[in-house]
Order: sequence, then structure tokens, then C-alpha cells
Amino acid sequence: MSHPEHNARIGVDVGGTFTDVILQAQDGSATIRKLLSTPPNYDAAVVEAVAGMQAPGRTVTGVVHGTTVATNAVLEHRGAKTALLTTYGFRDVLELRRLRIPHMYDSFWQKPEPLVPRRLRFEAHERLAADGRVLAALDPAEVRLIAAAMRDAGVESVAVCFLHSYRFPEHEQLAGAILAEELPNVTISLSSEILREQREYERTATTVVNAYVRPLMGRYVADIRRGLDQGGVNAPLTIMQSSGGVMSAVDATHRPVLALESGPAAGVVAALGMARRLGHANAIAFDMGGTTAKASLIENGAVSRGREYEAGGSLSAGSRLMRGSGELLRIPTIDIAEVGAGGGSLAWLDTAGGLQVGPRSAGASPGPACYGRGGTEPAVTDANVYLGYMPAGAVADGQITISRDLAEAALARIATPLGLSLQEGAAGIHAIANARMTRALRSVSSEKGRDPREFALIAYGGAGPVHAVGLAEELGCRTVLVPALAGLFSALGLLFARPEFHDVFTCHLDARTVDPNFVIDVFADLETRLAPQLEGAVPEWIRSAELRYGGQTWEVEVNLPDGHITRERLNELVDRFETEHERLYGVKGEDDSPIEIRALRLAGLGPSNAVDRLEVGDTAPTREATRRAFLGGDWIDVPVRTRSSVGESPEAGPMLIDEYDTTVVVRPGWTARRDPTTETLVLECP
Amino acid sequence: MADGTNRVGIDPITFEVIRNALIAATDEMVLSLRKSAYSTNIKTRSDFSTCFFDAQLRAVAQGFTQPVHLGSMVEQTPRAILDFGPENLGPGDVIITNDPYPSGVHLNDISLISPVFAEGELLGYVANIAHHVDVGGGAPASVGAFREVFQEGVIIPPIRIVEAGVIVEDVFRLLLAQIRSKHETGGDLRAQVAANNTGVRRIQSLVERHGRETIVRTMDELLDYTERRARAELAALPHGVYEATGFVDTDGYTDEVVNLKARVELRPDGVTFDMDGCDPQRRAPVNSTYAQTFSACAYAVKCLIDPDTPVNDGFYRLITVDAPKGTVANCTWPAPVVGGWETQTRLVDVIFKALLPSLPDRLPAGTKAMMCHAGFGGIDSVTGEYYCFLETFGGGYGGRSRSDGPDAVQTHGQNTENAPIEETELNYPVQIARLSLVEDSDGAGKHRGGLGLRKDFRFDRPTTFTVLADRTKAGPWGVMGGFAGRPAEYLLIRDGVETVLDPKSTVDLEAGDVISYRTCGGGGYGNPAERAPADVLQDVLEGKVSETRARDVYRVALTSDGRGVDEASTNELRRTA
Repeated sequence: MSHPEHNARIGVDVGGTFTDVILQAQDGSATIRKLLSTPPNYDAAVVEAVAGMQAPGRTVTGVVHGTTVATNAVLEHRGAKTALLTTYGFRDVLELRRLRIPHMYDSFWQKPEPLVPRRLRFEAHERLAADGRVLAALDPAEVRLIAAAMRDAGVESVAVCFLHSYRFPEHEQLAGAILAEELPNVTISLSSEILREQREYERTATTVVNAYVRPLMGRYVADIRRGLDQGGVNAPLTIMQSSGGVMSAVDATHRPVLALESGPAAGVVAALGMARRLGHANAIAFDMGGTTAKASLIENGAVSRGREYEAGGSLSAGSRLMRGSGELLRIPTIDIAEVGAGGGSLAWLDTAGGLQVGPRSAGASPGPACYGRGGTEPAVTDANVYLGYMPAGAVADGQITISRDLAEAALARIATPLGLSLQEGAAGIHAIANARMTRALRSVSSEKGRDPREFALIAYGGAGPVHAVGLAEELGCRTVLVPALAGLFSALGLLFARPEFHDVFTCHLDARTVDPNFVIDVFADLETRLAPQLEGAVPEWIRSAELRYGGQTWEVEVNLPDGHITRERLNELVDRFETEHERLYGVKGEDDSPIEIRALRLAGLGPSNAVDRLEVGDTAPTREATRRAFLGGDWIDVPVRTRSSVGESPEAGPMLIDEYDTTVVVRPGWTARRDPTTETLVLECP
Repeated sequence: MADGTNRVGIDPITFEVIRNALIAATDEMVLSLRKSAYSTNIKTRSDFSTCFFDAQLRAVAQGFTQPVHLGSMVEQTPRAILDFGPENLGPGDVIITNDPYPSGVHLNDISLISPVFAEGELLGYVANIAHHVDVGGGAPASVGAFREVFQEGVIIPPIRIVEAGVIVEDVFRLLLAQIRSKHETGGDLRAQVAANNTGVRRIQSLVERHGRETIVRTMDELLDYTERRARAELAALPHGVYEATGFVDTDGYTDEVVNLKARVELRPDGVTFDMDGCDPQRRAPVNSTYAQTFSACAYAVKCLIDPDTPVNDGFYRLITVDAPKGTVANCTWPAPVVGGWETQTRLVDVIFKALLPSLPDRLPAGTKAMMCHAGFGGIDSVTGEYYCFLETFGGGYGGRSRSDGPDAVQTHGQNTENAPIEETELNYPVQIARLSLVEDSDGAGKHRGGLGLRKDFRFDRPTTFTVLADRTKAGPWGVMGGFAGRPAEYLLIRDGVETVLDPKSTVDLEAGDVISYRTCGGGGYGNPAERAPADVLQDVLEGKVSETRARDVYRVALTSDGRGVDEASTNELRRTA
């Protein structure tokens, strides 16, 4: 009926402010669209955007969707009326959290309100020991009484978390079955299905978030599906996960917790796809938007995985140490460090006269002073405009008009009290923003024992390309990659994502003596569990194990060697663990220290439908041949270029490459060339 | 700064970059120690701290850890280095110490200190201090009501544990021989060494990048910058002299409370504390060392100023602490010190009490203000190994001028996490029978104090259990018309019979025994009869406050279905209050 070359896929990224849409045809040609989001009914913009992409003769074969709807519901406490069922004596585990106050010297810290109030936290008289012995059996009659109380309270969703259910789920399963029977219109989330891992608080909190957003996510996905159908798009709808993989829309309605923070993950996935195609196994993905900057490590051709995430936690690269400020989730995520420094971050003076930047941001409204929308305090973007890095006049299809005079007036508010010239003030703001972002970049690289000099920097987001080369110099990176459509890169990333599912078997095995056949059986069982979610595709399986020295608590995750599992391969696994442990923490165990396997993990990845080729052409008009900019300690006339004018052989900088909503700043000493297949700009410091 | 550089010629950018990198180095030490440690107390509860000192022994940067430790490290680490002799330290050496005298903390907290050499010269020291689950002494987990420091465990003066990168095995073995939990403690000590190695490497690479000279000048400027910033903050405080008294409820031997007194002088150029009036030291676990008392004072001041002000010598140098020797605020050899943190944290409460009348919007009512230790251990009849377990518990935070005190949290610079139930039950022969809030334990107030915490341990084998806690006589005080929080209780439940335990005692348990901690609630802020009736209703609906208490204390009557406020009756109750 249709020709494959007319097939196209659509990526839709819904953020708080904008809904970004990209349609990429099989031949690589791409169309972009940026619409204002339509909260609280975000699905309206999605449906409108996708409908607007329809072109005669094109067949849309897939719609991939990334969304912050679930995250926002958690942050704004707008989820379902949720109840929690726990083991008797432990309904307060959720509220007690980990006892710690996340700010060391703050007498006014307030504990976040739990998503389930105490009156909706119920206890069942059941109890298992750590080894699975039944200390108290679950009484079905009691569960039915609890179900009746939940019904009376008008509960819309239920989370169940019993102690030790990560290993022994039987009581939870029985309770879940009874609740489902008693409460047919209520969704039930079992902790043993959401997170089969030890530590009751983390498991409870994660399951509660799942339950909390489940009804909402169900309605949202159904609305989008209906909208697509009405618009004549019958292609399958898939949803991005925070792991960087996609899942079916149906799955997303069962386990929506996996879809929290799916937007930033998409950007990293796109960065990975680009790094691979350009032959970079090691890279740092750097996403700088209006309010925050995010950094994530790509190593040996793979993204860096995290297992824990706090929705609404402190925006800080140091947040790995500051648990307790948001809703804790143990879900597979891409490890992304975040700092409050973006184009809209405001400069200010502290009480000792020190110049500071962020984390307070001018946001979308009023925006930086130079936007002329009422902002008077200087933002990072104002400094960038003053320094000539970004153009004055109309940008982004005329949606924004930038005034250099307004930027100057705002900068004077900071520079004058410090006795600095405007140039010194602007350069200082730009550099301090860089210093803050360096902290995020370091937290994913050098703080993990990786030398950033061995990594390429992939810069995107509205402000990323402006700062990237300066940051690369700070870190010692010698290559910077700026993708086409840098400002819509997360939407593009959706098209690179593959179906991806994870499961885990929690165990307590002696790594040196475990029977290989046991491990083989575990993975066979995990494959059986994951296969239905992958819907018949022949997946790529990634086997990993979490190991630790006997007596430790924090496991180190390493991949299993490929091939059939034998004693030799398990010995190799032990070696990998010891090497990794020493690299991470500078110490190995004593010889013969017991080494335990604490978890076996399996990830199944479905096939990729990504199209390597990308054609977009220039996204900004040429305004001027040169622009005066402050580079290398001096004001110089810098050539202004468009992306397409950059050739395939390296050309010496400096140059300023103006784009749709950003500018690529190529500092002196760097060269620029364009990769013809992906239109990526490759900046190098020879 | 007219030329874009500051007084010592470091441009603001390099300054900011190096300043962040120094903090990152100490944070990285935190991760290294936490992730490679063995005992629950260090690996899961994060009961440790990290710090970097310059060659002049001034604290420059600290990791995100335990303020109680951090404030005392700035006293203890320099003394330990001076005692050992900096000239005796070479690259790859590590000093170990836990000696409380002349100025350390309790024996459980063991410090490891490593010199950092760069470009062939001493640049400074990295140090970490960690609370070990056992250091020997009179009871498992090395907590208990001891009469002299000698009973509290192995005393380690500053000596070399690592020489030129190699562990001094003789010393290591001698230490471990004094300690019950050999496997865990051995692993923890190695993790402490690794954490220092991480810090040394990180700071050396910073020197490689920026040059030694720049780093040294940046550190100088960082301390001066911090001082300028802290002084600007102090200038905005209400200057004057303030004092208050308080007490630790019990000492484990007598029925006499341990009286505390703090006099605080707030000046634009610094803060001076005078602890004259605190009781003489006792042969009981209530003695705070000078380093611990200093830590209480430094913590209290830090709470008064902009939280973004860096914490380093530039801040600490503005604080002077006079504590008479031989008192519970500055004990002398050979007084026992294991309970010193109980007194230390209570001193924070007393300091806040002194300052609150002039800073009513900045400080909370009385708060948990005790460490509240639980320690137990014994020989596991299955494995034959000696296990030790240690945990401290949260309690109610004091109400504040604009908000309630949080329920069941760690307080006053004690920043540890809980021990997860599933991890505890898997690794120790114990069953956690309950973990919950203590209903009606709040100190009533317009803004109520936080609720206390209940945690019950059930043992199915004999074990030895130590309570080292407090707050059994009086709960944390209320302020501005608020009421005190409910006092704590420590119970032994045997065959269904409850026995109240002394808060500083060690008991041998039989199979089937339960120990139940119910920690204190926080004090209330303001008159409870002024509390918004809707908030009282919410507490009742949440099962945090009983309907009776709502009526009798908060003067709020509920409707007959218990789901709303009976406004007429409430007005009547409040009129007659």
C-alpha cells in the first residue's frame, strides 16, 4: 500500500513549557514543530502537533512519546487518592523515610508530605522472616475488611508493600488478588512486581509513586491514543522510560513509575546514538536549558545507569549525598547530574560581595532581561548577548527578540557595585555559570574516577552550544559535538530509543562456589518473565550481576562475560568486580575475602528503528557577516556562519554559528567541521 | 577587585573552580568510604565525616556528612598531627587516633589522617572520622555506663597505621585484637584508608592542573572570603549576651540531673561561648570533651547564618569557646567519654534556648537533642562470630515560628540514616517488631513539636543490649507558651511484662525478649489553644493526636463523626482556656 521510503516516525516530547515534535522520514528528512504545552490537558498539544505533521503519501509507523506528566503529578501532589497496605507495625515506614535531614544546618527544614496520608495507610497482621519463614500468616478476612475501609474512603489506587516480599512475594500476591476482587475499579501495585529489591523504605516509596500516578497515566495514555486514532494515525504508541528505553502504552499504564523523568533520558539516548555513529565510545552528554544544566556519562558505547532517583530532590550535583529532599524512587534510570545553572539563571551578589550565579532563574517569565519581557536582573543569557556570543534581534522564527541594551542595563546592576566594567561582569557571569556546570560535569566523570580529557562533550539544549567549548577547555575535553536541532534534541532522542525492560533476581550467593547451572536457570527464568513485555521481538539480552565483599552493603554492578555461563566465566565476573571495586574506591578486599552475588539482573532490549541519516538544513537566517565578541580576552570581529556553510574539512575558529534558538560558539584555537550524514558540528582542539 | 581579580591575585573564576573542587574532593571521600565500608553504621547510616586541612592545620573543605563530627574534627585533627609531629610524616603515611585526650571525641569515633604532598612539599591533610560499631571495652558496640575511659575500649594515640602506602600489620593486628567485630572493623578501617587515598589523589590532581602556588593562595583567600561572609552575617544578628540553663536527665548512676549552662555573646566580629556553670565531670557517661563542646557551639552559630556560607577555618575562627576544665563541657582524663555526644547535643538545645527570645523566628523549640544509641551484640550461635550492631534514633523536632517540628528526624547536626529493617534482619539475629511514630508525643503548641519514634527489637537468642540515651525525665521544652514534648521511654518486655530501663544501662536478654524505644516528641512553639483548628483536626484524622488530647490540650472539639471541627464547642473551649 505504501512505500517504505515514505514511512516516518514521530517523536513527541512534552515539557512544562513546550511540546517539541519531530517527524523523521525513512530518507532522513525531518520536520520540526514547537508548540506551547497545554496543561493540565497536555494531550491536546500532542494530538494537535501530530496531526499537523501528517503529510500526503506519508505513513506514520510509530509515535514515541516522552512526558513529564507523571513527574509533575508527583511534584505537585496531584495524583490519585492512594492507599498503602503494609505489614503490621510498619505503616509509618513511608513517612519516616531515612530519618536524615537533607540540609545540614537548616532549622526550618520541612519533611515532604507523604503521598499517602497516614489515615490511608493500613496494616495487615502478616509477617515473614528474612529467610522466608512465615511468622504470621496473612488472613484473607482481614484483607477484605481493609478493602472495605479503602472503598469507604474512596481510594482510587492501592500500593502493597510487605516486609521481605522482594524475595518472598506470596503474601503480597495473595493480598493483591483479594484487593483486586474486592475493589474491581481500583489499580493495585505490588512492591514485589514494581521493585524486587531489599530495603523497605525504597521499595515502599517506589511502589507508592507507581500507585499514585497510575490512574492519571492510564487516562492520559488513553486520551492520546484516542486523539491519534481520530487524527488517522493508527501507528503504535510507545512511551519513553527514565531508563532510556521505550515501553508500550499499555505497559506504561501498569508501571508508570518507570516513565518518570523520561524527557532528559531521551536526550542522552540521542547523544549516545550520535556518539556511536561518529565513532566516539566515550562522551559526556551535556544539556543546558533555561533553568538547569544536566550531565550524563557515555562510556564504552553505553549510557551510565543509575538505580535511584529523587523526584523533586535538591538540584545539585552533590545530591547523591543529599538523600531525603524529594520522593525517592528506585527505578532504572540514566544517571544524570543536574545543577541549577541555565540560560535564565540570575546573577547576584552575596553578603561578602561575591558574585554568584543561580540557582534562581528568570524562567520563561519574565525570562532574561534582554528578552524585553520585564526582567531586570541579569541572567546568563544577558551576559552571553553582551559578550556577542548570541545575536541581538529576532531569533527562533521571531518568537523572541533580543535587546542588547536591556542586557547591558541589567549587567550594570551587578558590575557597578563590584567596580567591574560591563565586560568584566559579563565575562565573570559566563565563567561562574561554567564553574557551576563544571561541577555537574565532574560529578559524572572525574568524581567517578573517569578522566574527562578522554571524553568528547556533546552539547545540546538551548544554551549548551554557547557554553560547550569553554567548558571543554575547563575540563580538558578536546572534542565537542553539537547535533543538528540541538534545542529539540530530546524529541529527536525518542526516535533512537529501543524497547527496554529490566528484571532482577535478588540473592545471596557465594560468587566463587555458586553452581553455574543455578545462574543459568535464574537467567532463563528472567527471560521468561521479560519476554511478554518485549512483544515477540528478538531481544538483545544484557546480563549483569551485583557483587560485594561479604559484609558490605553497597553492591558494585558489573556485566557478565558473554557466552554460556561456566565456572570460568563466573571467575571472570569475580575479577571484573574486584577491578571495578578498586577503580571506584581505591581498595580491593584481602585475598580470599568472601565475595557475594547479591543480585542477578537482566535487561532485554528490542530492535531499534532509528534512521541514521538526518536532514534539516539551516534553521536560522544569516544576519551579519561578523559579530563583535569577547573571546580569548579581547573583543574581536568573529565570522558568523550557518551550519550548512561549514564544510567537511576542519576550518579554524573563532566563529559563531547561529541556529534556530542557539549559537555554537567556536573559540579561538578550535576548528569546526560538519559531519555530512548527521549534520553534526564537530569542534576540535587540535 | 577592579581588575577582575581579588586581593591575592586569583581570578574569581579560578577561585570558584578550585573552591568547588576542594569540596568535591571531600565529597568523593564520603562516597568512597560509604560504598566500601562493612558495618551498617558506616555503610548504611553514614556515621562518619571527611575534611581537608591545609599545611597550617586550618580546615579548608568538608564533605556532606555529620556536623557533630565536623565541628570537633577542627579541634581534634590538628592536635593529633601536632602530637605526632608533622615532620615525621611522609608520602603514603596515615595516622590513626581515637584518643579523647587532650582533645578528641569518644573512642568509637576513629580518625585517619593522611598528609597530602604535592610538588614535593606538604600541601595539607585529608582526614576522615567514622563511628565504629565496636572498639572493645565493657559491652558489645562499646556503649554503656562506664566509669573511666579505660573501660570504653581501645585507646589509640596518634600513631602510624599506614607507612609509605603499606598497612603496618603489627599495629593493625594489635588493634583488631581489642575489638569484637573483627571482620567488620577490619573492613571499615581499610575503607577509611581508601577514602583518604581518594582525597589525596583528587587534591594532587588539582595541584597538577593549577599549580601548587595557585592552590595555596586560593585556600588562603577561601578562608578570608568565608570570614568576610560570616562576619557580614554576624553583623546582622541581635548583638548582646544571652544565657540559659538546661540539663541532661540522668547519668546512669545517680538520680541527679546533669546541669548545663551556656552564656552566648553575639558580636559583629565573632561569637563567644562561656560554659561556666556546667556541672563538674562525672564518673558516668555524660562528659563532653572540649572538641565536642566546640562542635555544639559551631553548629549553633552555623544555623544562624546563610546556609550557603562555606564551613571552614574562616568560619570557625570567629567562634571562641570557654569551657572550664573538669566539667561535663570539658572533661579531663580519665573521665569516661562514650556518652559525651548526649551532652554535646543537649548543649545545642541550651544555646538555642538562650538565643531564642531575641531570635524567635530563627530557632526551634526544644528538640530531641540526644544521640539515643542502641547497641547490642553477642556470639552468633549459628556462625560462631561475634556480631555487634549500633543504631541511633530520631525523635521530634521542635516547633518553629512558622511551622510544626518535623516528626521523627535526626536533629542538631546528627545527620545519620536509619538501619533498614530488611538489611538488619538479614544480617543480625534480631527481628524488628515495630517501627512507627509515637502518637500523642508531640509538645503541644501553636506549631506543635514533631512526634517521637518507636522501634521494637525482638531477640530469639540471648544477647547483650545497651541503651545509651536520655530524655526520660523531661521532654524537650516548649517555647513562647508551647508545651514540652513527651519524654522518652526505654522498655524491656519479657513474657508480656514491661520493665522501664534506665536510659544508660546494659542488660542481658533472653530469647523472646523485646526492647522497645519510644523517643521523645519535640517541644511546642506558641500557645496550643491558638493552633489552627483545621491543623488539629488533620492531626486527629492522621492518628497523630488523639481526640481527647485535641480537646484537653489544643482546645478543639470535633463533630460527633470525628471528621470535622465543632466550631461552637471549640470557641467555647478556647474562651474558657
